[in-house]
Amino acid sequence: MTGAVTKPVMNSDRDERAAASQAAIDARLVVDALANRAAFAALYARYADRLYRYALAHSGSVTAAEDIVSDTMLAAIEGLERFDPDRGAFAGWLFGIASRQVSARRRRQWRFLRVLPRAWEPEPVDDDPLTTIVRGADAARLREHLARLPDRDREIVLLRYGAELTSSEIGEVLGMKSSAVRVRLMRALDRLAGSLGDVR
Amino acid sequence: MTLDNERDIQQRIDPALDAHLRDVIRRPSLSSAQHERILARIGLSAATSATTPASERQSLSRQPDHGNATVGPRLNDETPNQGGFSMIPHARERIRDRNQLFELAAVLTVIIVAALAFAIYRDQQDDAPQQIGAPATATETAAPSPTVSETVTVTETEVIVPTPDTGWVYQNLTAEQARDLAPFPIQVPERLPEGMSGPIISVSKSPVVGTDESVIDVAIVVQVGDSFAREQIEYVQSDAPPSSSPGDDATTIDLAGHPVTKWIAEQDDSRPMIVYSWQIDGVYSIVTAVLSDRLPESRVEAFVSAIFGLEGDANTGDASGDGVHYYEDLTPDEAREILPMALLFAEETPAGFDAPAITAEIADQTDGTESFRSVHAVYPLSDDPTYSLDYVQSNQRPQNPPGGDMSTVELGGRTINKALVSSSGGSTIAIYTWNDRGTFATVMTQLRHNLTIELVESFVAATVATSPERHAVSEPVVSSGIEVTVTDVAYPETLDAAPPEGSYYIVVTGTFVNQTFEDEGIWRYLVDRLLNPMLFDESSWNYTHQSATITPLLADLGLNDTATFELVYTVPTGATDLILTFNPDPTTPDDDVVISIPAP
Repeated sequence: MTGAVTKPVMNSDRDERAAASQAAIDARLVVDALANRAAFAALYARYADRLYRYALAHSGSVTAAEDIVSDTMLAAIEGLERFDPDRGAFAGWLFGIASRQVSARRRRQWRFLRVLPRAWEPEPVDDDPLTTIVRGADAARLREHLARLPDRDREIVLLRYGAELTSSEIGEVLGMKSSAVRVRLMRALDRLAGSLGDVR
Repeated sequence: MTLDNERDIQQRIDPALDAHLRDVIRRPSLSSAQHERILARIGLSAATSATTPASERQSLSRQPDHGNATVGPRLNDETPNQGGFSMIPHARERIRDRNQLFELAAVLTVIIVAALAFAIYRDQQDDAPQQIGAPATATETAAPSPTVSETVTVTETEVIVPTPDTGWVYQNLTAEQARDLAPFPIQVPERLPEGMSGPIISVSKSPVVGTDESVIDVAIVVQVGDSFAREQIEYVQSDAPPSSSPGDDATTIDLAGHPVTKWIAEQDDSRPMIVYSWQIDGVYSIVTAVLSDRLPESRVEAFVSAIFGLEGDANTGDASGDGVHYYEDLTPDEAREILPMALLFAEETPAGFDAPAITAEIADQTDGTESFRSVHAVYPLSDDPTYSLDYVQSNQRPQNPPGGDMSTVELGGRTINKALVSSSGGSTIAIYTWNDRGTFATVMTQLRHNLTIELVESFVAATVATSPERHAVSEPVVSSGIEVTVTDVAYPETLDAAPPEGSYYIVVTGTFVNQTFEDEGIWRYLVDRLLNPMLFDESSWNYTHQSATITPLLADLGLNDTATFELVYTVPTGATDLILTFNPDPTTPDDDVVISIPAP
């Protein structure tokens, strides 16, 4: 990536300047972490929850999501020297690792997932009981509908909503042009909208 | 649809769906306990995280409200730091320097490969009236060889901006990127034969001097062998017809239902280069490889077959385009043929079950690592086929079951891992796992109807009893006052990948017994030597040392009276007996311990 600092977040209310700033901050933190491993904690703080949401949406398992976060962070720490800010934003690089972790894990455990789906239901979050039940049902239903999407479309949706990546960053993760990401995202969302019906 | 930027997307998305997705997907966050666990796993303390200056954490999570001048230099600015983040340029230079080395190496490799290819083709042109179609091919009518502009230049992005005069090359492409660039349909072998890595894909455009025309070549290189001895196969697809005709020895063979012309050309060093060529729908394809012991003709042919394998064999297709291949309605023998891995099926369907429905999956890895392979057999219960047992064999270790009662059980003459997991619906799921010659096997089912634990265990016993795996136990060997017993020769539980083709893993476990290890120095020496594979006489057995572990570890050393060790080897088929020779006590150099292990 030459001369471009990509937008690190998807929110349309964040402008280009802020996005560039986020990527620049990441790059500085990477340098700090290269000099002092403990400084990686700042990058961890910035991305742990986003990674967790992305992993949880993929796996549906709190335990698996936690493992994916730790595996990804560990791989990032150990491979930090290979990160090249000229080739893309840290967020894209990090979620590229996460995507591979998810993929490898899914392949290892997909049989378990099929046979033991109930074991991977997400833990309830802090809410009143009614909201918890509704959210749990929503999450289960959404995951069911996401599962019907083609793999790549599902990955794009989760990278956008779970990882909060821009289409450029998603493109970096998946090796696609950002324009292609946007088109596929819209198609995927159209399909989701059709299949989810009035759930929203 | 117009989707030029993020704002277009945001305007197009159904607000209700957008809100729903945000609400459901974005809501969870890690708890404090989870943070602590993760930080501990990655070697950062929670305290470290917590001590990140609050001011910095704030600034990291908040959108800065200042102008460009204070944001700091962009990563590629060559201007001095303007006061924002002074370390960024240094980081960039440091990281870029390193990457430029890799890029330079990669580009040099490409140039060398291209030069070799040109040399080979040129040689052939000398021998034959025409040249094999190749990158930067000239026109067919070129009596004096037309010159083609050199095409390779380098930029940081590895993508060369096309110019009409110089042509261009795109390197290190994904299949999708290559398809976008090529003006004709291309084939990219997504499932490579075992032992091949890649593909490395590039697309080049070479203008034909004196004309407005250009030749587009898609070059795909796959590598064969390990990192120390690697051969490669080159596969070029072009929209220009090859200007060559095959030599006199050319034959037409049928590969995966396609007529392919094959011939042998000789290189300067007399090594034979095999060439396959064919044409489909106006796209000309040539595969070339220099033959060697590591890359015989059969391997190249397997690669060509893999190319054609993509073209619609219903049972090998990659329907989803994600590199995953499914096979259905297999017999056990068909599964063995498709997947080069040890597979166990009872010769007769185990009592209580009907014949299984067998499917297989091969998932290619884009990072060049070994593909994931899995065979799934579903055995219906004889008296009610609506209930069934799942039996999965894979070359990768499955995740541990999510909790439950873990134990081991002796079945079919071997130790099997067993887990009983309670589902949230109240039923119990039985899971049995073992490793057979590098294949990870899992049997699992819900215990319901007549699917009792006894029936499931009889299934497991009947299945594992068919394994050719053997256990050998040596006689105790006593030397230097230390008794060493090789307690088992088995296939490892500790490795996550199947052994290379033509070999298998074994684990040798041993125990030091009846020792007080009062002399810590000797014990330390012993541990150190055990962890050093040079300790053993490897001459009698052509094996490869994989790993060694010893319990307790040196770091946890206590003066225990029993210690065990585990050594893992890759063993080629047909190996002879293994003789382990070592001397555990430096004070008695002539007093070796010799352990003989019969070859499997």
